[in-house]
Amino acid sequence: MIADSNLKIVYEKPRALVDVVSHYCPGCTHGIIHRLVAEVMDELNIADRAIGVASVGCSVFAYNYFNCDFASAPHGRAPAMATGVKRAQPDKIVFTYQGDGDLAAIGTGEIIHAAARGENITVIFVNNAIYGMTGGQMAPTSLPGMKTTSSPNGRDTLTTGMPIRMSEMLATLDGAKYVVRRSVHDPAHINKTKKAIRTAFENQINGVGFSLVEVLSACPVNWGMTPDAALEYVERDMTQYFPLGDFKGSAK
Amino acid sequence: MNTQTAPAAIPIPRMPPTAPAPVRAPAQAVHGLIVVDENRCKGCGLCMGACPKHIIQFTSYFTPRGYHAAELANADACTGCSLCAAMCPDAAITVYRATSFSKS
Amino acid sequence: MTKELWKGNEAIAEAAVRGGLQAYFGYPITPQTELLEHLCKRMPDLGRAFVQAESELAAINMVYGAAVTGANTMTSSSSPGISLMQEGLSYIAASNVPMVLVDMMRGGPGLGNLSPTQADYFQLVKGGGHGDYHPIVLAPWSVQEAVDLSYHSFDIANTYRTIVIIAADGNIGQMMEPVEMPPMRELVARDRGWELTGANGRERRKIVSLQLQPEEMAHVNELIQHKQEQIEQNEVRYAEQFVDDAELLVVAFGSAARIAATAIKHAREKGLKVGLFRPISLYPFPSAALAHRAFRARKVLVVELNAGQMLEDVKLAIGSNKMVDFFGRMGGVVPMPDEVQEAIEHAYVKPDFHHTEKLHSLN
Repeated sequence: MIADSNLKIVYEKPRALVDVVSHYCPGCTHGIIHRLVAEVMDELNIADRAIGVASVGCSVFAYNYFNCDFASAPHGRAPAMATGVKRAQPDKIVFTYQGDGDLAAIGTGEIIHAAARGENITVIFVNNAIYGMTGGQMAPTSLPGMKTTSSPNGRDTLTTGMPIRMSEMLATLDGAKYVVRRSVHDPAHINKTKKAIRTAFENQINGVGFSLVEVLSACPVNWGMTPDAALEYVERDMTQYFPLGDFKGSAK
Repeated sequence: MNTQTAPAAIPIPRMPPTAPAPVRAPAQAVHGLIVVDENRCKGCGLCMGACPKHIIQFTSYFTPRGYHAAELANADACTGCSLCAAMCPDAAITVYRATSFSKS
Repeated sequence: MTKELWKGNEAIAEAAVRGGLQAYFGYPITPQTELLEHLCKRMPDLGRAFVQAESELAAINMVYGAAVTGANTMTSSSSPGISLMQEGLSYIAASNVPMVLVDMMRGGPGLGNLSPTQADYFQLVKGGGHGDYHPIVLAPWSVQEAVDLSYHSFDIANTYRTIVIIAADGNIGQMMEPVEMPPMRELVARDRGWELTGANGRERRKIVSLQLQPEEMAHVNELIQHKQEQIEQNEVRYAEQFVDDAELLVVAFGSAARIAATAIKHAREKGLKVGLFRPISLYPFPSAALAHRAFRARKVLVVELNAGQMLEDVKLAIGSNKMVDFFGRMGGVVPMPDEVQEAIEHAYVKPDFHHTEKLHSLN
């Protein structure tokens, strides 16, 4: 209740988000996903015992945005670093936050083996099909024909192959207990993503095991679109190649 | 070890620290109300697309960060549904509901 | 005290456990795999962390993760695996967190072979990853010395929040010698103000190596340099034999020093005034002590199992007014003492020239 008014707060910035303005571009869905992770941390009351491992990419500064202890890993190595953190501090909530270059290019070895070993960590995988931080190069998850700074004529699958579906691949590993793909292109899907993120953290609390949420995301600036148009691209085009769904475990 | 005296520190220009948004309340609302923190809002416009009543617009002025922030165009029509806040990448929107209409 | 027969790799592993090792992450590679195998049972038996990682690249990053939580953590490898770890070592050095690394050097470059060499000297001592940093590098010449250094390695690493490297080779890793094993230490939980342990009740902490503002990166570098100045003052280690009247000073470390010591003993029996200066800390290099000792000798002969790497630091320490010759075998060839003795006698009698004569074989 606000004094002398008839209002009560229904939604406000989560406590687990530090009170700073982020460097993300206007309309970048990293912001939405950060907010969802922070909301879940508030709801589960885990910020005090969480240790995040930031990766390399646009989200390299994640350690400035979340109100918990944070380490910073070399490019792609966050799952290995998180393994070291979790093995040394098994009672803490350890999570990584990685983009598609970090997880699906340089870090494919590390994510596969952390999942295969069944490390009881939570992985947030932000898939916006492009390398944002370095100026918009092609990613392993870029769609065929996508124009990027390293594929100016559109992604040619004859020489660069088809995009990698990481969630489907990781779900084949016995050690991976919860692997789902979601999207944040409208409030309904944002809500489902939040539930998946919550499950992924609850799994760690309950000792269920390796949990990963792949979130289809937009990069308006490097895709050369307005934020609205970028979300339409996610809804219309990205979900064609990257179907939403549960590949391992089930969402509550 | 060869150490030279470091040159005088060059002041690094920094953005001013974020101050919490002043609540424009106390105010009454018919059903709901949103307050946009102009220090956080980057004018991306996603809230406008999400609002089912289409009552969010850009401000005519620039914020200190150089954006047109979002603002509520018609406070009476706001139901406090929070879809705008769900969409906001910068957690810039605080949503209120009138207590007589709260469902909790 | 009772001595037991221990294989080098296993002894180093056991000494680390007794010295307080809490988390080990490694990958099999000859000639150090026995270290990992010893720990894969020992660590879980003690309730401590052990992971056989999928690669050396993953292993060093797991060490980084355990290190930022303040755990005593270690990995081990051999030359090709150490190359893979250089990225991680650079990040760990930038983060000022402690860790221990064991390198059992083998033939290279490339996949090389399994035989002992000392050819990782540059990679270890000069800080093989990018940026300005030097790990502390300690080179044992016996299994007992390896045990002693391993046992104290976490103390040293924690004192300076730095990387400590035990640099040995396949000789030392594989041979069995009588060893006095030190006692098991209690593990003590600590909070020194930087560990990532969950922010419960305190300000949140972050350990990062990215510093976009050059002035801030410079400040981080200044901290590292300051730390290194303290290390250079306090952590120099070396040993000497027959140096008081030495006219020819042999400088060697690790296995090469073992072989040279035998050669020197035989040379002494023939009346040659030869002595051995043995660096134990390769970083910080015992430059002052070496310069002092070399000043009294007429000539210096560096003996290494490589193409001449410590040779450069010896020459830097001694300066240009003394003949510094070199005898070495490359590729994992281990010389017999009589080969080294021939090189000593050759250096002893030849006229002094100031350019370095490098001998790799006397055929």
